[in-house]
Amino acid sequence: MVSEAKQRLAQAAFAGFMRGEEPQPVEMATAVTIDRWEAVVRVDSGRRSLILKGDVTNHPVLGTDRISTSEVVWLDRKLQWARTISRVYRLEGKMIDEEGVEL
Amino acid sequence: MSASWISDDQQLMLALLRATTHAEAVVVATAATDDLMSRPLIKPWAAQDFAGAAEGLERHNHPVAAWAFRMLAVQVGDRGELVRLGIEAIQFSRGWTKMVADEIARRIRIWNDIADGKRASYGVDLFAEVNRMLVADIARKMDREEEEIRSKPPADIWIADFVCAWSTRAATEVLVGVTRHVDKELVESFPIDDRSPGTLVFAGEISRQLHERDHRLSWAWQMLAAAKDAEILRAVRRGDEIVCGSELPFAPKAECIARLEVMKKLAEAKPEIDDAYAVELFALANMNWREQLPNVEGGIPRRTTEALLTLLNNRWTIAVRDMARATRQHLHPDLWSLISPDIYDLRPKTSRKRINAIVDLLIEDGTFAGGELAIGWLMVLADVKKPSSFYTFLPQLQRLMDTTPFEDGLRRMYQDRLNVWWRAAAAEFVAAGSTIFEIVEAEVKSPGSTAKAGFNAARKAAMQEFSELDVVIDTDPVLPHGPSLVVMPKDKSTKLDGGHSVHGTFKTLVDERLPLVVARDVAAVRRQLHLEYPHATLAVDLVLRDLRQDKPVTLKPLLLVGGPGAGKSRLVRRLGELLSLYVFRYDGAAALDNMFGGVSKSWNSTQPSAPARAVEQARHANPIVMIDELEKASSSSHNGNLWNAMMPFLEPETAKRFRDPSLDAELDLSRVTFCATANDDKPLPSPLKDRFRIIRVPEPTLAHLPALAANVMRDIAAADEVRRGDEPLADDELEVIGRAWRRSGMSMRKLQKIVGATLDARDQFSMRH
Repeated sequence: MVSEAKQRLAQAAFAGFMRGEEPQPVEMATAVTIDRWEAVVRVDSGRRSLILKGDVTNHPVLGTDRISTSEVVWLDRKLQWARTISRVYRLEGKMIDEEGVEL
Repeated sequence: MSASWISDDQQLMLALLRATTHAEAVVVATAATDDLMSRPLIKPWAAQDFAGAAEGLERHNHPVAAWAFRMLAVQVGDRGELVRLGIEAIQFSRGWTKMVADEIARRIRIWNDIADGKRASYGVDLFAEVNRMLVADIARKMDREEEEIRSKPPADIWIADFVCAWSTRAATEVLVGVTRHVDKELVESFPIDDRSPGTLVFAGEISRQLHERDHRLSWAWQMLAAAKDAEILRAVRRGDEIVCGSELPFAPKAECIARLEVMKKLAEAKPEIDDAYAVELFALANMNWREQLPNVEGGIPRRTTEALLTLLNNRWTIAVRDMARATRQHLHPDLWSLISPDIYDLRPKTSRKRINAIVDLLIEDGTFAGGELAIGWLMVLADVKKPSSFYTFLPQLQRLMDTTPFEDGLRRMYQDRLNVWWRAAAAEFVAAGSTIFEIVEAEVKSPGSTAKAGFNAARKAAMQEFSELDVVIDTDPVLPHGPSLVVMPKDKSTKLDGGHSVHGTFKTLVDERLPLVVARDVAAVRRQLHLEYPHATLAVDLVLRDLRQDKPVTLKPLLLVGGPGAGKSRLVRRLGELLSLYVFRYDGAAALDNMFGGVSKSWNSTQPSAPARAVEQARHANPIVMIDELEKASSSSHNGNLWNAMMPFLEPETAKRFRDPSLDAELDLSRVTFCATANDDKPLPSPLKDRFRIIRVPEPTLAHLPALAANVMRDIAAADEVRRGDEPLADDELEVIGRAWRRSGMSMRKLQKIVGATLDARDQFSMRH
């Protein structure tokens, strides 16, 4: 389960993004990079959310692997970064669609 | 459900009742009935003949519009008509959302009071009078609450004390007092009586220092520091949010918002008044705030997320109009004029750039409300053909929904609509050919009515399988809970050859647990197929024989045999759609070799086997591989042939451990369903036939015509919006169709053509009249 603290942090970040803020430079510098990523709509007991799948390197928990992220809180309009419930990701490369074609 | 949605009718009623003068009401009513008015039928309104217009509208079956014009025509002396109008309004609003119905009832009550003589009226401008009475009511309610507040001060009362201070000096005093509790030193030397530039800088500094600790105090200091129009506007808008989000009771909240509204107007109208208005912003608000009360009417803080409101609309153009209106109220007029005066005429194809410019401006604005508006505009830009265009606002929108307090019924309705947007993001409607707004409208009325491509249904199903995934995958990786299968175990795969681009996407299959699609409602699938294949119900039952409710779908290899046009391929496709399985089509007639089984990686033209490609594209472990016209495959054994290549896949034992020559990996394809079709099974070798369950699909007869023709009509309507309202086929039309069909050989394909031609003929006939 997601810890309450994490949820609160995510909500605070969300409110900031709503006011046009972006992740702090420090956050961006330490963000996990996700490459060859795609966005997937997930249905979780009726509730829908967006997650990312992609290759990460040196993820604090998952190391280097192809992973699925937790729920996306915010996907940057210019597709430079994404904030999930857990952390900020820096989006590398282009989004791939379902068939693995670069958009 | 659709009846309770906010329709044009409801919008018209609300807008009319909210009008503060008769003149405004006229504008509302005529604007709302614009398209009706352009027809010659209801001309009289031009001559201010409201009663005449009402009659015309009534005659043409627009009761709500007619009601609106009767409201414009009614005189205070005509009590009977006033009462009638009130009753009708309540009747119209029956079944509408509670929020809308309540507001209508609240306002109608005042109209009724006037009719009953309970409230005195001058009889000059009823709209203005009703509005004035409403303000008085609110003020009375406020007085009552004030009593209560005095006896027990609520939380956040300092916000009201601050915003409602009668002068800037008084506001400063309040604020210094409150801030002292937080940080005494910070405000110790703040000069309360001084408004020199130095003091403003000081206030700004305090605001910055408090930013991390208490954003509301920080905002209040920002208010004091603001001197330029833009600064004031920004601070005031933030104030709106803070007041709305506070725990203040209704009355002080409404008053605060009214006062902030005055300040906003002052900042927008700047040049008329003295440049130094900022000095006495609070005093000016104190003098004029009551006028603004109607705008905060009902005490419902105007925080109903603008973006969510767009969900209500059922047409793209209306959505744009609403967004334009809201944006115009929000953005500074200078910025607004930069964008464009003709913003109301935006078109979906050509306006992308301009809308993007608006979004940029709104985000730069730095307020929460600006962010909401930006989301609304992104919604306007969303394109169902490009699911990715939904990714950048849907998570936000969902979160806004989740964190905004709604009444339960209202939340469900919003969520229903939002779920359609989510489905669009999941690529369900890429083939729909209409805007998301139209799709939402259709889907809310009858779910599943929008045509979708089989692939996307499969994808959706695969996603459904993840439904019980835990919440945070990236802190704690877990596997899907539903049934799943590793198709490509790592220990049995050699390293995939990076040189072959075809293998790129297969890498992601290595050791990946793929979901197995589960049969959700077997009875419903059977019912639906019986409906669509009235001539082949036995065949349908045979096809579905292996299906088990709530178990992963895997059918024994099937061979459907029947004359051309009996609907064999379509049956397989429909089966896939209804079961949410991906259908991979392989053309037997074009197969001259054993490509089906894959081409070795030592060849330049290397290609994985067809079933492997099906799994890779489906992203679930049990797709359907459909081999069309199996009997037409070349039987020469020079390069191997399809029939032999297929054999290993048809035995569960060998399919479970199939070594793909291209991927050079062992795959578990035992859950893949193979469906072949053939016009005739005689040419097929017995060993192959033995491995299939052979099902004969009979050709339809005339007796099935009405049911089949109705199906065809449905398919046509699904593919072509223009055809949606078409009348069902009449008996004489069916007779003509039946004759033509029998002549042409009774195939499903022919029937589609004939029905299509009949409808076209109908159009031409009606056009001549």
